[in-house]
Amino acid sequence: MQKNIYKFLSMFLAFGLILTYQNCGEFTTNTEFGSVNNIGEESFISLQCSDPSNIGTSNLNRLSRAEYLNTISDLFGSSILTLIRNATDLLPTDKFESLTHFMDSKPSASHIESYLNLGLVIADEVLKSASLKTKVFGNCTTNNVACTNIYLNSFAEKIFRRPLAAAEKTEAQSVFSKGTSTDESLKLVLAYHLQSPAFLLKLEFGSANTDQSIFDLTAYEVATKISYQITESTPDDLLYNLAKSGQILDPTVLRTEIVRLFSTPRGKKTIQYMFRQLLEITEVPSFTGFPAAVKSGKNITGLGQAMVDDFEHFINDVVWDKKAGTKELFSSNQSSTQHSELLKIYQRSVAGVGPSNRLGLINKALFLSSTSERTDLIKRGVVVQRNLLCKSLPSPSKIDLSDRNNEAIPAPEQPNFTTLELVAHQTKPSACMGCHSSINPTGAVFELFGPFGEIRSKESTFDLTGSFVKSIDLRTKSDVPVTYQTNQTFSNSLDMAEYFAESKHVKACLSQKVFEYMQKRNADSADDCHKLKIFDELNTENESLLEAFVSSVGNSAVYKRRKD
Amino acid sequence: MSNIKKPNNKQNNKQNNKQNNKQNNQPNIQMPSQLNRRQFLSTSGAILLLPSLVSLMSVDEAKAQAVITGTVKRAIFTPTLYGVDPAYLYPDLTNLTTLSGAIHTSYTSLSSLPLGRISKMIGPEFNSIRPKMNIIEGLGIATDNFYGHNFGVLAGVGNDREPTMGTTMDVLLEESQVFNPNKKAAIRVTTNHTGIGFSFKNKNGVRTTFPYRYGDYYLFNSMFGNFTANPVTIDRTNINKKTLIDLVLRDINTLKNHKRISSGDVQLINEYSNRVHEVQQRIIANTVTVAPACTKPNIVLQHTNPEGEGYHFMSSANIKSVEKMYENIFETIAISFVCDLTRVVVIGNEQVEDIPRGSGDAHNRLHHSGNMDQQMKDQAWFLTQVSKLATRLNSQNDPMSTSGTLLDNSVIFYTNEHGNDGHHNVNMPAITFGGAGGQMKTGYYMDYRQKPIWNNNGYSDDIGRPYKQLLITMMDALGLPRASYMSEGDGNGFGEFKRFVHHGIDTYAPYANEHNNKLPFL
Repeated sequence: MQKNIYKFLSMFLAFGLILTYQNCGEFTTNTEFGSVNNIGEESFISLQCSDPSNIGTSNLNRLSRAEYLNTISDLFGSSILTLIRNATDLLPTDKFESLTHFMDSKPSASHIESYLNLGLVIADEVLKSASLKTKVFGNCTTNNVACTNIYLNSFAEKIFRRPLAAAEKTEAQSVFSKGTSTDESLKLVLAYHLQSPAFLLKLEFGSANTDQSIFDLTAYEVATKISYQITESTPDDLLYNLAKSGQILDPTVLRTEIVRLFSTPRGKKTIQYMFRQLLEITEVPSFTGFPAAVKSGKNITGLGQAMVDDFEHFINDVVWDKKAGTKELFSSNQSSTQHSELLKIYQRSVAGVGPSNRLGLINKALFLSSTSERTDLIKRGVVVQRNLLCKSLPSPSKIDLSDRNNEAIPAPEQPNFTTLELVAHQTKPSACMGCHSSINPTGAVFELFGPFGEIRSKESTFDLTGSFVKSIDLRTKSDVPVTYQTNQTFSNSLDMAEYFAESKHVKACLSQKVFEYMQKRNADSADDCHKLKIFDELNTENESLLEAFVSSVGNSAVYKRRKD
Repeated sequence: MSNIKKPNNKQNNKQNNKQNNKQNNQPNIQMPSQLNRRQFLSTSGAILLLPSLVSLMSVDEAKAQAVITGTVKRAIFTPTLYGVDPAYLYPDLTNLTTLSGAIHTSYTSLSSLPLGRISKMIGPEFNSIRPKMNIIEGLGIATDNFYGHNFGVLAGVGNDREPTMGTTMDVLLEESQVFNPNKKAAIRVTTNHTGIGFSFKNKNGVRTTFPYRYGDYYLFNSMFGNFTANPVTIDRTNINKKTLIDLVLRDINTLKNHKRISSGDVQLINEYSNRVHEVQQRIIANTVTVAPACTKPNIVLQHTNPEGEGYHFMSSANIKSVEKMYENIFETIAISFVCDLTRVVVIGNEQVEDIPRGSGDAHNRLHHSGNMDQQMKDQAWFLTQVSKLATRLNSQNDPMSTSGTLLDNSVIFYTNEHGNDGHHNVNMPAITFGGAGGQMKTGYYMDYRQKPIWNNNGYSDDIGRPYKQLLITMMDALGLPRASYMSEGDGNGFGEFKRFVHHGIDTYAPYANEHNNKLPFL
């Protein structure tokens, strides 16, 4: 019995996000997520930009797993990833803070061991392949200084993302001498460089070793910075050469490069992924937890991926094809899907613009589909409140979760209630309602859609065996707190999307999220100009998400670093 | 008792020793009989399998054991005969630092001494290796047999040409499963006489001696005669990993000093450094030592017309260059280390007869000529050769270990059967090179002589500590478990510790409770 209760709880409390009153007060700061979320339209309007080149404090970062693999692929060719698969499988996934997705740059011992193994394995593969060996070492076949300089003056630069210092070249020559054969020497020096801090850390020290709070970055560091921010990889040849010539320090050239990088497949993926993170839909839906009765008659083969593709194409359409902003982001009903089941879900026969029942990204099937036959009401409410309205919503404590579980309606009785009713019952303790008074009505507007994201007028319920029990009338109209001070009544999530499309508050929140996502850090007061510039790109008649992203990377602050 | 004395003022020793030597009338050495092949085979096959008893280990042993997996260690012994006069060997130093809490122990850093000659036998050829050597004065064999030839110096036992107790260090190390797990045969080489007796063991009343190879010809052919390539599969993965991780750790720690790191960066770099260090320690612990790639030494043999291994004396007529022959021997040893063909070497110079000048009876010339300058000149010549061996090993990075040169990971022990030319065994010559992979301090002159210097009618006997403590110090540093050798002696631990009553005084009594300990400080 107890087990069944938890099963049902897990259906709609998949994220454990029933929140507590005492932690959910107005204008609280949630440092757990590294983000000050109590921003709003007013806070952005009041921002003052006195020094456009000012910049907030940032720390050095290690290459993420994705950045490491992309970089290796770009340096040696994508086929090497297949050859070193066993070694890359052992490279640990990185730890990210749950909301901001800021990576914890501190490596584990497993990271260090993996870098060590990978360096040697990659070097092995390079030496086994005549073409790779030539690519990396030129025609270097002997162990002398002139020969090794071919490598040090060409390929090693690509690894370090800058020319090597004289001392680094001398050190490399010394490492060469440690091998017992030419191949072993080459292997050692390549493996050494592949785990050098100069490779694994995105070092930003400028051109001097003087103690300054704010200092100029070198052209190579600027190139590296924008390249990893946009493409999650090392500068390509064009960008590297612009760094080498110093042209990247020209703002016009910089902007052109930023746009070019965003327009690459990886750059587009970066923007797409920003919105998937924003809506916490980074996983591909699998529908494996659904009862057979729910899946019956549906073609779910490839459906999850089709939802992902549909969402990402939608972002591309808004950002690149329409060069549009938040209005289009929340109001477009564009869909490119050709998946038969997704077309059915969208009530369309062909891809393109269809009936206005899919307004904006929050009404996309990828966001609306759930992990069980019950909809993810709480998750939707939390995501909207936290990520689109920038409300501070802490996670519940273990004690709160225990109290919540005690309020659960027994499992056998649950099919008699809608998801909203179950959630409302379980979160009625005052300790929960501080946050759930916002979350529940917000999630409720999405109850227009079922677990596949399909439009519905009634909610079907199922028993513990997965058998259909009944259909219950739905209530989707809600009074949703859209700021800490104001509520807005929405009939459903389509209504909410139309409101968001025009909301400065949502633009302001999105500006903050874009800043954090691209800069991979919290903003501080020194970033006001930077944030305001992003907001300005959205808070205008000709708003442009692309320009917002470009501004998030390229402004006068890109040339500097503040260390404290 | 002996009337061989050494004045406190070493500069006046020369004349005094001349006088003393005239009073000695020792018979010529009776050479131990040579083991025939059958005898050798019947005895050398017995391998002692002595377990490493962790619970019985001292802290020093445990320390040495802990790193042996990452460092292959080697030992070289260069015992000579006929005595070395301390006045010629040791520097005459004042202002030594006294080690508090230790009996009669004082020292100074060799680096603090001016470069160049620091004693009559130690000249500028030692400059470059001073940081890696120790000059140790004041060790004596605690035996009741004060006077006579002694082939027991590597076993820490007293004067006897054929000691019936103890086992020599080279044999203990060669037969140790811990020190020499792959049972590489020891190299024992001499420049002339067969059946030299510096290597032996006594087991259950049976005395076994170990034969020596002759000159560069037989040594080279025994090690590399049929050598074409290293037959052992080479796996340098961990060695390379250690090389790389050392570099990474250095690089990451270098970042700490950059002035443009933030407080957040400091946390990242410290954590990074800690994790790299953690991995470094794992690599060290997991390093499996295997033979690296090596090539046959390219040398021109100097012993051109060998008469056979049984030949009693090498003829100087058949040696193109004695000095070059020694260099060949040293090169063969160095490459044997690189190829991991051996881990124990004894260069037994029973007689440096004819070397380098090539005439006369070494025993009488070196021992009874009454010409101390001449005697010590010959001994100095050989010590210079030892410096060349140390320098050669110091020039070669150790491919079998995670760091250091061959010398860093080895111990070379230079000694002699006598404390001076007069058959007595106080203030035994003792110079070491190499630190056994960092397990033994190096770079010091140590003075263990009892103070005030023992004086008898104006002559010093330089009584000091038990000599066997140095052997224990080296075996500790080399990682030899004490359980494997503490029963090799007179029944009171390793070697011999007997009362030596000198002028009515039990001279080694202060060391009754610590003669089985390693030397203080080192």
